[in-house]
Amino acid sequence: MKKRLCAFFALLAVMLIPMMVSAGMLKIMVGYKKGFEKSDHVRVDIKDWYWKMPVVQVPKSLEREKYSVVIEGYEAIRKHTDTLELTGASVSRNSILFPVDGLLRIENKENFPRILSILQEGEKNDKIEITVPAKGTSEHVFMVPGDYTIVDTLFQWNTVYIKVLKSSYIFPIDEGPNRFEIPDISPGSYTIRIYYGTRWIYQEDFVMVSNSPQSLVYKIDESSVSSVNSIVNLGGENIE
Amino acid sequence: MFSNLGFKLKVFFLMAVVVAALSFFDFSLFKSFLAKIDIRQGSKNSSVLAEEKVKNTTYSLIANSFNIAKQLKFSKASKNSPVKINDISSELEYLVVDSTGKFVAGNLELMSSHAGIPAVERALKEGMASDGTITVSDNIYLIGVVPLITQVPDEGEKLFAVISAKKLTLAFNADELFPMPVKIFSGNKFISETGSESWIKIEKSYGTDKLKSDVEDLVKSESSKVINGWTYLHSFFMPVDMLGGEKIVFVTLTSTLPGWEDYQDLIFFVVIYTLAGIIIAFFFTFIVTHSIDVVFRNLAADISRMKVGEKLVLKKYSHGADIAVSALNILIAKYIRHLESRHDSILPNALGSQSNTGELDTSKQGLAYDAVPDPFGTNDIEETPKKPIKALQPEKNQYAPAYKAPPPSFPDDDEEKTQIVTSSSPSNVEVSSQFEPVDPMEELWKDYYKIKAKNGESVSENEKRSFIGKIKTNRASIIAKYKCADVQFNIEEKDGKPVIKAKPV
Repeated sequence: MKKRLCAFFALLAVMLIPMMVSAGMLKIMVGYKKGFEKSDHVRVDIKDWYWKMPVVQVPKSLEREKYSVVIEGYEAIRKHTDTLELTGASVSRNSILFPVDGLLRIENKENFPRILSILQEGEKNDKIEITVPAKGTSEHVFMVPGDYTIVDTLFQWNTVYIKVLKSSYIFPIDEGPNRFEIPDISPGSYTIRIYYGTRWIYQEDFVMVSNSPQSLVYKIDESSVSSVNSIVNLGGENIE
Repeated sequence: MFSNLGFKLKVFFLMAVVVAALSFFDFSLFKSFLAKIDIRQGSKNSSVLAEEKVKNTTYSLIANSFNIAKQLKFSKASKNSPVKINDISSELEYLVVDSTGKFVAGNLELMSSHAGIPAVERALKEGMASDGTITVSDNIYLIGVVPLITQVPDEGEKLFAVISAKKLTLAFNADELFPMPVKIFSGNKFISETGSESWIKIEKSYGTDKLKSDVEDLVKSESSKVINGWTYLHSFFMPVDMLGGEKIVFVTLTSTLPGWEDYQDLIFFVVIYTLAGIIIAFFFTFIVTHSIDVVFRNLAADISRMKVGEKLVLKKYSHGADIAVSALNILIAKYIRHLESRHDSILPNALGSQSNTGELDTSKQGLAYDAVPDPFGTNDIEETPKKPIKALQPEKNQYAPAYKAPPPSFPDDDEEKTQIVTSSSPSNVEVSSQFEPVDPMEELWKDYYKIKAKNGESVSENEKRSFIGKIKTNRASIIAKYKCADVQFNIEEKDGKPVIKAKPV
């Protein structure tokens, strides 16, 4: 009888341990205003001309790649899908960030089929060809972390660089205010990274304390990221 | 025909070398002449000219776009009516796109959006007018793109791009565009060619497979290829980026002469000309040497048929034989003269021994005829070993006859005589006497006389003449027989009689 009582209390103690360490909420707020495309972001000009002469001053192009937020150390399954449009002789993106198992949807806007080759860096023979039908769509899932290159076989100057992270959780940032909440992040230290396309441009460490919500506020303006935690209240209602 | 073959081959070889050298010299001269022409109309210059034609064609596309941009105007009839574009006249197919590459106006629509076309990107993102290429549905277009910022009703200033386009196959298909035959390739794929007749001619002359292989090499990399002495292939690429775009290759065929196949013809005829020259040289060599051969053979036959006292007709011989005949006639003249002088000395004795009946003493007469040397006889000469002995050193001028007058002329059946014989000029006589060989016979005669006298034999003056005559005749005979330079005679005593011994030297 005594032995049975001891075993019951031991089981109860094991069951109650997780209840004693409570997970916190993380709020991430990012304000983004599109800036002009920097020269190093623009693809190399194709030299297929005999004649080239300046005629007019044209407005600068705005950023066309996406910013993404990644929290390193936080592992959770979140379905991520991104779209690549094939318009005219161009592609809508040249640099895309994916988590593991990220899905790439390729949409062909033209009335002729397009064949894209996907090559993984370091894997010489690992070449995948995707045929996108005229006015149709194709999909590809990146299951292995690494760097990939997608080449348009018809218009070969169209190259898309893909980076697949080990992390399975990324937050894409659109123009304007962006708010993400992770209600069940465990206590511990984490790193937040912000990417422009596949290029990592900002990093900050933070610590999650049990039962204590954490808010991180950032501003992306003129292609640069700045932390504005100090000027925003914890409620995160006012984001520049 | 084939006697004296060595001599004939020598002459033939010399003539063949001369003919071949002349042919080679002619060809080199001609080739050098063409090389100098090539400096002015060289293949490289021609190829550069072809490339300039291509550049002019692409520039004409840009010029056409500028012309359209100048005409392009957006207008609105009323506040609520849609924006309209005025009518545009263009020599080429064209389209106008907005800043996103979407079709706005024109008579050609390549794609739903023209964004991404490098030339269009340059216009919309950099404000550059430029040319370029784009492939749509297996059609390669040359394009000239110009950016344009113009006022659009209700929208303000907007950016557009004007694109003029021409299919590659049409752009360079005109024969009059290029000054030479041209083949055009997209990548390794043949697109079109100009000057097809010339390409066919060169294929026939140079070889279809060989030409195809050379062209393939030139399509792979920009370079030149010499087909023959004055026909060249040259290739150049339209600007192409390693990141993409169409590799359009032009292969030009240029020559310093209008006839592409003439080089092979010329080589063929030079070879034929040389061979013909050599064959002609061969026949001439044998014909000429054969006729010389015939003349000398006739001369030899005539000499063998000659009788004592006869002379040869000079004009009958040619090809150098006449010189030999002339020399021979002089020799005959000397011989006859010698006989006559001897006959003059024998005649009084013969007349003195005439019998009372008035008949000539036959023994004396026989002596007189015996005194005539036998030109072929060697009866009195013993066979002696043919070993070299010291030649007699005749004392100069001791026995040399001194001619004070020109040699007498002799009647001849043939009225034609050599100049030497008929000449009576003193100078000629002098030259003759100057080169008269010294007669060494006097000493021999003395030895002969001593032996005879020793044995109590009487010796007459006529016998001396006969002796000397025989020695001279035998000397000539032995020289001819043994082909030696001279003959040394010795007189020895044998059984109380003098014996003449001769040794060829």
